[in-house]
Amino acid sequence: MGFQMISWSLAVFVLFSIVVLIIEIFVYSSYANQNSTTQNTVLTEQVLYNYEKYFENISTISNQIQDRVYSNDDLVSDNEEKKEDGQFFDNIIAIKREINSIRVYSLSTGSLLAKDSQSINDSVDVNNPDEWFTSAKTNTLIDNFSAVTYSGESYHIVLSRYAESNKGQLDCIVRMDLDFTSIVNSIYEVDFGTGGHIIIYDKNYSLVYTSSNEYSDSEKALLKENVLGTKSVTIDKHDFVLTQYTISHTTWRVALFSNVDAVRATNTTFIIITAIVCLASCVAFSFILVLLASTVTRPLNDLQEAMDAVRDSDYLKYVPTKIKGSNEVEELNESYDGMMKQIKKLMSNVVEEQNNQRKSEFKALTNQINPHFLYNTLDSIIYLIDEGKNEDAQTMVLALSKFFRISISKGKTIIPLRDEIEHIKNYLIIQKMRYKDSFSYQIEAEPLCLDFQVIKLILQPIVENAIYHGLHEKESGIIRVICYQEGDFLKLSVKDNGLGITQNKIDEIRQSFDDPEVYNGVGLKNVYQRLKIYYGPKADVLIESVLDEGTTITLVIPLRGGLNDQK
Amino acid sequence: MTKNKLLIICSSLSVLLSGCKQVQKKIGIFLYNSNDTFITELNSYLTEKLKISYDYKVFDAQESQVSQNEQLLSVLREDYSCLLINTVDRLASSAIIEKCSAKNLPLIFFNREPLSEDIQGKEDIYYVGTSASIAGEYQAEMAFDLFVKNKALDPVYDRNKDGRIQTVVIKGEKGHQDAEQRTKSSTNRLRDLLISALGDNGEDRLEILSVESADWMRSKGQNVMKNMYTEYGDKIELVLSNNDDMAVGAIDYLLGNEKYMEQISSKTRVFLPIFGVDATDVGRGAIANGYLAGTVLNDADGQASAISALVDYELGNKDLSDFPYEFTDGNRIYIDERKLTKDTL
Repeated sequence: MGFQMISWSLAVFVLFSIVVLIIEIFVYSSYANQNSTTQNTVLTEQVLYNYEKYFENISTISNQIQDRVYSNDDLVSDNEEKKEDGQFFDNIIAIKREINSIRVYSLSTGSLLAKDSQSINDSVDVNNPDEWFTSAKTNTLIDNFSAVTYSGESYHIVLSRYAESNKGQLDCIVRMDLDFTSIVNSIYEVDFGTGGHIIIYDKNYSLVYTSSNEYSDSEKALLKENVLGTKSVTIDKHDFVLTQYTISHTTWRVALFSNVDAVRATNTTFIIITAIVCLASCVAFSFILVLLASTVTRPLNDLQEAMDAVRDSDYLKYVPTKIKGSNEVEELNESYDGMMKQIKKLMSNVVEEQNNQRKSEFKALTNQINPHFLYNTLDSIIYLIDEGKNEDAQTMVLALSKFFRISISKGKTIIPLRDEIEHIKNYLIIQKMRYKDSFSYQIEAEPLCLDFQVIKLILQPIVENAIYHGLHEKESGIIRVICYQEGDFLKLSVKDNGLGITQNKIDEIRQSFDDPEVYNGVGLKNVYQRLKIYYGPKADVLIESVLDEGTTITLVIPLRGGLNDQK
Repeated sequence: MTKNKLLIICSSLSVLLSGCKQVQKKIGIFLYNSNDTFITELNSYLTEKLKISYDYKVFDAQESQVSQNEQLLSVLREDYSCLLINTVDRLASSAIIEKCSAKNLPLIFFNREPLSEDIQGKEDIYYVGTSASIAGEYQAEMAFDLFVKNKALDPVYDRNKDGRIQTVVIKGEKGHQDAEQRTKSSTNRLRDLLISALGDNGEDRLEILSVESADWMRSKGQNVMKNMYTEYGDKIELVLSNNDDMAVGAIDYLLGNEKYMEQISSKTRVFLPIFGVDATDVGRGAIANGYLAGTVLNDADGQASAISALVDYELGNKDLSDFPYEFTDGNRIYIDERKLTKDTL
């Protein structure tokens, strides 16, 4: 799952990078193109403005001449005497330096009607007129311009115009020779880049002027395709922006080719840099992902697998795993490990305690059904019968019967203190008769205590010890069993007036209580363990002894808590 | 039964859908300059008629052919069905026609006539305007009627009583077909009428003092009149203006000239006769006030009607054989004009 997630994230990131890359390139190049287009537009419009201004000026003068020719009878005349000397034209030429000469011809005869003072006298052959004459005759309402000619290091164009002179009584053609050099030269001040150039052409796409060396058919095709406006074109592996305009006051159009290779080069550089950055970030991202996977994702997965293994099998089979990863993960693993160890320990304790309890009970039972005790008792009964002490024999049989009945107690573990006392009383009766009244006994119990529930057969081992070890063939021994409540505790004491035991022996016994390896066979340990299992840590067995005076063993049983309450 | 219900639902649905889907065709209107009174008037008539069944957009070139070309190029990138073009420079028409031919758009030029060679024989290219020469002739006839009483020049108007009319012409934009032809036809016609009525006394009955252009504009008309009046003063007996705006400009000048106005009020002298063309609202107002002697109704409404009819025929793919207007040279429509004086207002 971890690996799959990593591949997914990587795929998403790479996809995202590519999308960002594409968008960025698109936005940038369109912005760059737009920027260059704007710059180009400003440039070309400036060039166009120069042209239009030039032709507008010329047109204004042409109109003034036309008006003057119309209204002034003396300016243009086929009557030589009336004709003015051309001062009007000379004045215009003096002011407008781009006008070289002004001549007026008769439309019908082609003869020269008026001229500036510098021009030579000539005439037009009306049967075979030049282009400028014909076009003015055809398009009577507009200024007609001829194509640019080059001679003597200057460029020239001819303007021809139909006009009426003498209030419309005489039709004529005005011809102005214009110097186009200044306008041509102004183009060289504009930077169109390598191979950039300008073409002026008429509406039939015939060349009027080009700043380039040639006007090829392929170029003409480009112009015809675009007609007007801006278009990106490629010529000889160079990128150009082609802009075409109409030139006002003329039937001409202008095309400008601006080299924009620089824009493309910038675009390419930008695209390469962006692509490299994207690629690098992809690589960096995958590296980070792998790192993340090895320090976080994988250790977590390992931990999860370890947990799953424990869930599916036995807690006790838990084996600590060492997981390498980031600090957090390692700490988590340590905590988990500690927790599992604690659980394992607790579980083992529970199991052990249960085992011990069973062992103790089994032990207690086997103690009671000790065959020697039974044989000895039965031997004693036989002896009593032989002696003819039938009453005593009867008492003993009765006591034995009661003793075993309570021992078994229908399999119950807990019995009232009353029954436990009855049990010990029967035991004492039997033992007293067996040992021929070598000891006496007393049983005292507070009546309130008789209904308390206690674990059964808990007193018998203590009393047995008192008889065998405490009194030990001593004459006139006394065994006292005292049951009383003290605070929250029920206390069962067994006192003898025997030899007593040394403090060393007491310490030894107490030590054996908590040491599972030692079992001294005295039975006290068994009692102690049963009390602890049933009543918890508050239960205890107290041993007090004074040498030659006697020993007191007290069982301390808490009235609340322990297994007693839960059952 | 269920079949019928289904049919009703289907048919009503289709009616509903077709109602929603009816996208109006877009028409582009290109004006050379929205400050031109006559053009604005023509445009309002035009849009009034077009808005009924079309979606239209008006572009104002503000006298820049570069701007108009830009506007046309922007429109070609969109989905327009027909373009109505009033060019800034009529010589640009050929490039416009060429550029639009790729899209097969019907083009209707108006007011500014493309060169004959540019539209001759072209399909779906039209021109709607007026016959410029007739406007000039009408202007001349109105002036003749005003000046000639009982086969002689009325001395009220021929104030120097030399038997000639000293005339100045305020011309429209140079190179505009209307300006050129109105000037030519009005002066020629007036000259011819005078000679035939009064006879040739060896001299021209019409003396043109000056011809100056005021680019169709009222403000420039005022300037031109100022120049002329400064130069010729009371010698001027008649003003022929190529349109009303320039004529009203000339009136503006005279009304503002205190010396002139004093003369008018003190002596029993009539206001200088000025004739215009177009019959714009301002022009009509000037006639009503008695300052403008007459104008020729350049029928803006009629031209707008012809244009919108052409649009309907072109976009409706109708056969032009029953078209209500007469074509000249195959694709040009010239709307008739009418004389307009105080009497016929």
